[in-house]
Amino acid sequence: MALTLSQIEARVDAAGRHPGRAFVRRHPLLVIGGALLALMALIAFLAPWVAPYSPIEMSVLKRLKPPSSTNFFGTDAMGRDVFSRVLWGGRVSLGVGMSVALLATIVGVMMGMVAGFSRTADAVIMRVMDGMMAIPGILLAVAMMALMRASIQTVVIAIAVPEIPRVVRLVRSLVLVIREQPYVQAAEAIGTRFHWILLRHVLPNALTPLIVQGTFICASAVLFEAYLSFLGAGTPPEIPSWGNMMAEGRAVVQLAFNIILFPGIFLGLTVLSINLLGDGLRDMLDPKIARRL
Amino acid sequence: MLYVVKRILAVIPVLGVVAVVVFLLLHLSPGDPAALIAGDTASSDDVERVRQLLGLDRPLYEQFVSWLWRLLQGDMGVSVFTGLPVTRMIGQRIEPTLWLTFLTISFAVVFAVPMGIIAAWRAGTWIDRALMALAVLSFSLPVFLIGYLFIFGFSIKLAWLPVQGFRSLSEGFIPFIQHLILPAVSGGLVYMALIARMTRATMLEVLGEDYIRTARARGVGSRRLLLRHALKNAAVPIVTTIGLGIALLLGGVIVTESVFAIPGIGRLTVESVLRHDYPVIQGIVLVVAAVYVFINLAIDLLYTVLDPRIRY
Amino acid sequence: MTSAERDTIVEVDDLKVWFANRDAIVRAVDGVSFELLRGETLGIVGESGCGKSVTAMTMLQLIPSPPSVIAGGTIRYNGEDLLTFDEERMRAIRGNEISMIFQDPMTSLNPVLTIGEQIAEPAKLHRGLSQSAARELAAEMLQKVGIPEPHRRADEYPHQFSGGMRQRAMIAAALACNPKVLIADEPTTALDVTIQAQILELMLALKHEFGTSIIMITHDLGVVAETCGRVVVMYAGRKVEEAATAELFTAPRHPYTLGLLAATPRLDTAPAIRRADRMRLQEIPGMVPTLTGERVGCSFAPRCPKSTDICRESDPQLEDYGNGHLTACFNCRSA
Repeated sequence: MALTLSQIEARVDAAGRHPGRAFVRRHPLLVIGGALLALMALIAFLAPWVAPYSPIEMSVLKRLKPPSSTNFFGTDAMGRDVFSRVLWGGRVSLGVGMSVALLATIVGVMMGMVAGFSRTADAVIMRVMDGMMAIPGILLAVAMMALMRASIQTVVIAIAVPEIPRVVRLVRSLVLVIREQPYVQAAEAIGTRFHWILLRHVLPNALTPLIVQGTFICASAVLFEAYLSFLGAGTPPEIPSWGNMMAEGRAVVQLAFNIILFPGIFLGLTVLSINLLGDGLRDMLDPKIARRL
Repeated sequence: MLYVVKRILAVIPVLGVVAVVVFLLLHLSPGDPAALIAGDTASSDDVERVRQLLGLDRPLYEQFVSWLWRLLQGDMGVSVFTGLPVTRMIGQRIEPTLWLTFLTISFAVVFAVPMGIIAAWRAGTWIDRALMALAVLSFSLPVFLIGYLFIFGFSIKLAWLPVQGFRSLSEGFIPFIQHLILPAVSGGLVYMALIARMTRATMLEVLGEDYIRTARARGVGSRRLLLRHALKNAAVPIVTTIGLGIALLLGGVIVTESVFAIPGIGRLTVESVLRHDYPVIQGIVLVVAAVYVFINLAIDLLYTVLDPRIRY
Repeated sequence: MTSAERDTIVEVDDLKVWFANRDAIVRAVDGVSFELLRGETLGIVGESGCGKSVTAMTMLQLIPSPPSVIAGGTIRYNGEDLLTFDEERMRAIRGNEISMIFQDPMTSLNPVLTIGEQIAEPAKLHRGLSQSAARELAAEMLQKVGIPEPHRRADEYPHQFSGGMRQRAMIAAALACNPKVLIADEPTTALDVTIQAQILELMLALKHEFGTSIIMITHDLGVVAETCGRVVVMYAGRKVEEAATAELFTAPRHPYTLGLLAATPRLDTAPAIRRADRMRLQEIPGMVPTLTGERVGCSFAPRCPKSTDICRESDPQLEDYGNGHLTACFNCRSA
């Protein structure tokens, strides 16, 4: 794929004149993912004002109607408008996703820091993490849900717990590497306080990988919520989440595929956009790739 | 030799932690374990009965020790719901799951590795972008949606394949495969995406190494470079991902069994959750985790074959 | 005499290799010309970033494009321009007629293949040797490069060899098909000093045995003095001086060459000789320029003690000062 000289000169020229366009060309994933996610988030945020119907209003007469001009996505088995539920569902799914990412990251960072700085704690913590990682995430989440009363909060906890080991490993390895750096050893040598080292040296370097990992955890969490609901161990049925809608749609899959299809499409697009955003962020923060023309 | 021994011994603490985690889950959850297991509709008598049945009235560490002791003897307790030994219940359902898992892994690896190699070789071209787009998409769609789309397309509209169910091998190879193709593919797409991405990333990294440049300088052609020089070096990380990704895969298998009504462990899990049948859930988690640990152990041992630097 | 009469084996003519990155076009090699005669050892000297490695790798088309682009020039081998060769033809040349060895023997050998396999490979590819014949050749080559117990060693892996032995193995692989030209890119830089001497000796011995012409790329003038008959000095992507080795060391002309020579630590400037101006290592002030954009004037002018106005305004061309001693400088009339 050799380029000619004139092609390269043209590109460098163009990059100089239109830095915005050059940015888009260089980071397509970031732009597409970010834009799509922003759209989904906007929809979710505006749901209460944009949705034509209430998501929980049932109507015995209007059950299982196909998509029409009054009900864009049709109605479900209890006569509820699918379109409105899909819009509202976005709030739940995105909310769960972000909460899980936040929770897992915060807990993981704390544990990872401890593991990185204390030999003995490290041995114990990493063994426990290894053990937790040996249990498939969904299974662990399901097992936890079986023991807790279903609610959004418990779902967030059940999904976050299996994600914690990943964060801990990342933070721990970052801490270990950064501690070996000459500038940190110098700081320790002149007696810099422990938390100062943490704040000024460790955290800034850890920030970017954590953000990238956080986006992937968010995507994974949105999917997991759907899986849990599908298996009957997720958000309570009164709350309109995409997973719940698809779980309910199972029973009527042959009659009304739209009940599974539309939440599924929205779910897929949302997760896709988060994944693309994560990929784009990772590429942007990797210096080798960022300098490519 | 030492490496092999070390690896085998390292498995023990991990299994130990799994056992502890599984055991503690029940006791760390808010509320009375017996009540949770007995369910919302249980009377206080029922709760007491459950408590007696599972020995939940004894001190914690005593419970753990006796539980562990029985476990090591192969006794995983008795189902609260059916009264049958958990081992028997799992044993009855394990065959379909094993087959499904095996087929899913095979499908995923056979497609993912070449995908990743081709994407790395043609990095930056439309082939690369297309393959990686496919990977990201597979990664992002929920397994059951893919499953239902397949059912809708192949089973309902085209009627090429059965909608759901499982036929064991003894009933003939063709029906066996027919019933397992769609589940294997829908469950395996996520796993395939993971492996393909990792393969591509590793191959790219390896292709940037000095020794590849040296080989090129000796006149080695692209195909030989890729397959003989690069792939062998990429093998260890790729195989590692295959092993670690099995956790993801097993989750997908559980969901797939639900979608395609395959009477395996996944379905048993779902049923047990609904019934709050905790001993069964415990047993399943232990078995699955143990399988995962041993597969990764096998992979660790495989390293000695793949990379000559890892011998001792 | 024309180049054909002088038995030139490789002729590089006005080679320009540019790199495109996000911000600008880097002119790594910007109009370099030189010849390699049959049987000679040509040295190419310069600091890091002067374009010597890029020149060498371009000869075998080893630089990925993008981001590189051949912006001009030709590289003639046996009369044909290598830059016009497609991948198929280049593959036939690499390792077979023109070989290259690289700087770091640690990373330049594939860790998962045996040494024997890597040495035998070019022979299998280019000469079609069978597995057993190639294996014999590998052992033979290992013996030639001075590795004891060659048969046993051929079945070992790179991590079982020491640094010096690895470089020997690299040389063995490079010479396995008896190439006409060997390009050595900093072959001794990553090695201990004592091993350096051994490797250079080995290379010269093999050169005599096989009759290979060598291009020796290095930043170390000591290596040049030991091995090369003629030297090309490069700076910022251009050739600034060329001469026979002896003449370069005794009568250098270009200020950069003078600077390089002065910066080389020498035993005869030990403190015993109390001359103030010889007590310190002379350094060349300033830094290597970034190679982007058009040049105005001589690239070395900012750092040159002899620079004048004309140096900053126009580009000095190479002039012949007799005996093939070329220099590109406005102010180098006297030595």
